[in-house]
Amino acid sequence: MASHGGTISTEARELARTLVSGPIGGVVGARYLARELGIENVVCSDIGGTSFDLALMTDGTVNIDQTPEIGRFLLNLPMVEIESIGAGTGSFVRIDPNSNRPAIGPDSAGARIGVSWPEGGVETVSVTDLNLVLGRLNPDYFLGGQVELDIDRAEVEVRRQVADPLGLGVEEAAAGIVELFEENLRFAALAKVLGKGYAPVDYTLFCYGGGGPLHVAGYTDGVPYADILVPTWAAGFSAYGCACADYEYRYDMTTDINLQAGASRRECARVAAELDEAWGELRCRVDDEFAKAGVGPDQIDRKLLVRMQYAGQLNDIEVAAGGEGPDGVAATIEAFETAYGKIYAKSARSPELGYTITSAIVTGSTPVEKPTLPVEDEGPKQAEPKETRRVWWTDGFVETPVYDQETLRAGVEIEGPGIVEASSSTFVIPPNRSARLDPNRIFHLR
Amino acid sequence: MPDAMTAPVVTASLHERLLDSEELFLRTGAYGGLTGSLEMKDSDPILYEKIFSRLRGGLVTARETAVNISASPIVKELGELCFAFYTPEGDSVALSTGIIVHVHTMSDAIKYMIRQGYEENPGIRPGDIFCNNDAMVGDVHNADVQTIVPIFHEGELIGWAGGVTHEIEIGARTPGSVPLGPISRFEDGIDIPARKVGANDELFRDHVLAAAKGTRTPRYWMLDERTRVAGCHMVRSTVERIVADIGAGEFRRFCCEVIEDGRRSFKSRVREMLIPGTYRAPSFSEFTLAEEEMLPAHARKDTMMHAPVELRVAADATLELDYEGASSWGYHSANCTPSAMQGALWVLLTQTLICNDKINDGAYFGLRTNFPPGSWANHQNPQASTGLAWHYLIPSYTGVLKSISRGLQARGFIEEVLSPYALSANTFQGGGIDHYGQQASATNFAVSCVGGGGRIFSDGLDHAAAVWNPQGDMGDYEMWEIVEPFLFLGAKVKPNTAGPGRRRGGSGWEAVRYAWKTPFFETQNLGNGPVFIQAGLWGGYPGATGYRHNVRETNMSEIVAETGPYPTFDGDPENSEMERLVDGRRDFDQRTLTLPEKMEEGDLYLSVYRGGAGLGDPLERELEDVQADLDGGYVLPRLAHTIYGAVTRDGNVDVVASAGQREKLRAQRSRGSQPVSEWMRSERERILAHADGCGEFIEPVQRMYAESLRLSSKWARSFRSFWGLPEDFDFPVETPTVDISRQLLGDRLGLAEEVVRAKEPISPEPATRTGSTQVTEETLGEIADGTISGKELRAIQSGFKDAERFHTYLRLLQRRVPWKDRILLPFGEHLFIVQKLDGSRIVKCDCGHEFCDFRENWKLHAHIRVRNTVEEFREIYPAKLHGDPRWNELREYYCPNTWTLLEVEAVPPGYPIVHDFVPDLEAFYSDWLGSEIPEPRP
Repeated sequence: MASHGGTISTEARELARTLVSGPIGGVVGARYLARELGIENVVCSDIGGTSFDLALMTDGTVNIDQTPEIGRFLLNLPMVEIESIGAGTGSFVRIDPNSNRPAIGPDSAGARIGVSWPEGGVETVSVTDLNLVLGRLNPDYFLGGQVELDIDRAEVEVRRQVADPLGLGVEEAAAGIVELFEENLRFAALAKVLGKGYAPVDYTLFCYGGGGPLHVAGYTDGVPYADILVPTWAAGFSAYGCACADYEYRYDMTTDINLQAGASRRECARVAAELDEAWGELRCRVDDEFAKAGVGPDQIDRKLLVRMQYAGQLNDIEVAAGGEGPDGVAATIEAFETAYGKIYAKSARSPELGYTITSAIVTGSTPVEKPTLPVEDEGPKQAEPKETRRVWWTDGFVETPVYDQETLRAGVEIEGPGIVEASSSTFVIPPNRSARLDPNRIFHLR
Repeated sequence: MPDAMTAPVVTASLHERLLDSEELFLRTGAYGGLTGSLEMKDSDPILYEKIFSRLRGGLVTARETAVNISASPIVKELGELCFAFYTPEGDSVALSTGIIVHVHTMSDAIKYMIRQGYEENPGIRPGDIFCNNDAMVGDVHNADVQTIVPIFHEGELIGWAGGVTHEIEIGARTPGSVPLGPISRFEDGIDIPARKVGANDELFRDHVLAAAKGTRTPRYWMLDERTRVAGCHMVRSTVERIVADIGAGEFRRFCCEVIEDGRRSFKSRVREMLIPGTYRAPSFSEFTLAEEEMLPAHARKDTMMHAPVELRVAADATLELDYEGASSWGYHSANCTPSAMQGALWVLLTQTLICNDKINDGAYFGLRTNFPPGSWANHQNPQASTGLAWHYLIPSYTGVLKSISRGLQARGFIEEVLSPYALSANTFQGGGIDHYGQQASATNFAVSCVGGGGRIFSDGLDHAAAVWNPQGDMGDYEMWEIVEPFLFLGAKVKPNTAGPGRRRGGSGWEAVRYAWKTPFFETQNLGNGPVFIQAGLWGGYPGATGYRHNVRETNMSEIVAETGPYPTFDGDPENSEMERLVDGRRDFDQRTLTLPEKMEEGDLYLSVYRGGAGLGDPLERELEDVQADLDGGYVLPRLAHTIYGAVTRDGNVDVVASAGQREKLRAQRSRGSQPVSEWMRSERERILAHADGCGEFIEPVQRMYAESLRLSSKWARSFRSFWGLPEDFDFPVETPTVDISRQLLGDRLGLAEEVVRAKEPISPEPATRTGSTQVTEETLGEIADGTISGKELRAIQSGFKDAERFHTYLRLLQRRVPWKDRILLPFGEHLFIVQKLDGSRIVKCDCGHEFCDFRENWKLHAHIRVRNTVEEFREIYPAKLHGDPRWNELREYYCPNTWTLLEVEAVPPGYPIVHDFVPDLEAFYSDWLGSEIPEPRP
């Protein structure tokens, strides 16, 4: 799995190319799933113990960051653009003693869960502890029952550290902080869409990661996404994604092609000639790489792209080229202007400065065998809960049905409140929300 | 709260609303008159927090998105931009990350527009865009350009979005963003004193065209302006969405509560971290123009800046910063406005006392400041230049940091203590024809990578500290080589730039730049040379000053042709690499502040970046640390010998011989020092001689004193009474700028701006706090000894503070001292305030020596050695890296029992001995801790 979102040959001896392949695997899995399901625009959201990772896929493509930053180092290595926020299920919850205001994270208990797992040695309440107090997590079935959690300890500590300072009851405080936590995630995801000038109704949200199903209802509440998809294999989605990637090579060539504002056709022809030459060279390199693996040129699906900026800027953006030849250049400029206006603001467009094309890019991919989506026939809408338990929703405990994910059949519709437990994740459906399991074993949350 | 707060207020004019808001605060002492409980916060703390995090999230996102529009490396790579949201009256509610110095300057700009009646003319309407870069209106200097956009809801103004970027070039008399050429406002560059520059979300064409003609790099200007506009529009969208969700009434209530909340949290933090009392730490700086022949005669002067920083923590936990006695403004570009001073105070506080994301103008309302009119810190002169305000502002605030550190140490928060930082210098800046053949201008921001101050647990941060920039990151060398026609031949740690101490300051570094493919590029030098800006804490010396070493008409082309060795560093100035390897016309001296001069292809320019101040007595530095300094090139062997008493053989420290050398140095301290009272008698005579016209102080020093004496009668009284001088004593020099201020200001000249505010009752601290990291006596001992792990230390630094800390620290110290008197307050590295059996409270050294009553200045009872010759400076610093003894001296105060170095002062000759810290023990124990001052031990 390479950082640009495709798999590369084991012959490629550059370990750096596989950086952060875990989260990227999730995005690639989402891209594959979206293609299979015929969805173009996706918000990919992944919650683990320490972070909330977001990526945006528009018109079937994910953004590539040309010079990503990892651990404060700037890399010259194209990488799928993922925004990571320090908010996970293990995030610590504290009340600032001076302002008496809650603070969530940025540090977290990580794999040590929270105060509810005394063996972990954690003294500070985590988001997981709050979920436990609220009954949303099952202390006897955490990670399928492999880890036993101490709900009494969680309750005592939540009261002492969070509820009492805020002057609220234990559940009230826990529910409030979880709401605050989810709200932060909600606006982070929404900002991703709105910040690029799009609207949530045009996007489907994919939720995965170990903590995703637990909070997805909260962080999508009130946002009019086209659909919200929670695959039943959400917890192992990144690994799944790694198996979904195309065999893909991507080659870039730095260029320094300047183009005046309102360029003449002759000017465009000059630029086209330079670009076509660069693409031609890159195409040969892509073809050569594939040839090593015995893939012929006719089996390769190629795309031409450029990175471009207003002359003098330090930051470029990647756009699909309008095609070869002078007409292609004009179309590329138009694509750039549209993309720029969406990413920043219309008022930030500066065509009078002219343009610089900073690199030419060719990607070539060839499909590989991928995991097939499960397909099963739809059964009845009703399902039998395995048990019920008291869960705190907005203003009190409600006896809530708990389902075993393994026994649920496609076609089932669960009206909230309800909880679906699997060995590696817990899917929470609050009151006034509902979820339907489709034939591909993906929940659609409404 | 009354419904008045949530009701629309469209009937009152904006100006009336501002006056009401100010009157309400003065009358009640609380923002918005919210004296009781904060209803919204108390009744629904979760909703309150949700709104805040949405607002703050919107600001951060706006900054992170908009930054990509800019072409300027200092904006794009170094983060020199920031966005904030303000109430209709102009008080900040929340802010993004970045150059947050401007959160308050933009507040001043908004209030200025309101006071000047902009609502009537030119009008404040939806879609309008305003721009300001005038320091008199609200800014630090012209290079910081603000865009301000009003936000409306159903026809009513509900707030303002503001954004600021630091321009890389501002079209001043000399190129760059911090020009040192201007001597009046008319040379400061593009000048936009709060003007409407757009409507209907579009910039006016005439503004865009005019501004582009005002700078040497119009492209940076244009894209930076669009960065700010786009960011403000993103902030506006965030606010509009919040208001749509919760309603305008709730939003107004929220804004009011969150500012009052900020004010209360700030005071609570002061109360948590400091000790009430008075702290003093004067700082100095120089502006040397005497040799600039191009300037008019009235500006061709050398000037010494005096910042008599006094920080007071009142019994009600109000922080008061007083510059009473500051010297006058001048015909140079380092003058400041109160807006700049407030902004800078904000920067310093957010890095010391209030380092969290929930800050806003509430902190401003918890402060009192006095920047006397007519002084450099509040020039009040419509013609004075402020282009290089930072050159005075940065040194002056070392005193605030030092004062806060004294409080932190006395309170037991030793993990937070910082010795003074380095001046952000040298600033490589200039303009001309670049390597692309284009007209260009640039300001290099390697100044954001200087040395930090020494810390109790370790040395200062080496070559990566940036108190005054958003991040300790200078960007890539390659990026600067695109912007400037100068290649980096090399960059290296600069030996002995760090101020010596038990913990040395963070080291500075140096870069050799090679002018490349340029027919001419005018290049300045900007840093301190003759003047140390501030000594360290508790025996730590100041960081080194600097020098210039530029070579023109070099033989570099021959060296390159012959592939001969070329300099990649300069190293020890007494054994210069550049001098050894390159011939040419050489400027190699301590004129560290010069107007731009031509450089061309083949010339060499050395940029020396300064180091931070040390902490503690250098003779107590572990020899293994000295060895590491030698190995890393941080200290030269001959100075390791004279500063640290380290005897080296083949680069290795000989432990036994070094112990002997340290004994010798202690003996020298005893022989070479005298009782302070004795020294004061002779020093008094030296000062008194000036009254008869036969004084020996150089003119800039005399003028500095004369300005302070003539601007402040209070400071004059304390100066004359300290030395026992006649009531009419003065220095026989002219102070023309004071005379101008007298004309302009009349009675207001130098007058403290007394603002009477309601005092607040204070209740004792709670005994325990939840959520804080409990630090045991053992762990605290590990911090004090520097043996704590980095991970554990970091958790303590970023966690909430424990309420028991003061008592834990007292227990630790009490166990470590060899005597039985009860410690009442830690008082530095070796000193304590203790309770004696007879009921007296005195300053006592850990060796057992007793100085005096704690309200008196213990230094008056110590022994002193004054270093005021070049030879004496060279025992501590290499040539060209120390101050000029005619401008300032180093005073060393020793314990007369063990000859431990307890404190160092870097002050001009004739300066009164500084009384660093007078704690208000009574208020601390009874009001803050809620207990009596402990009885003496039986």
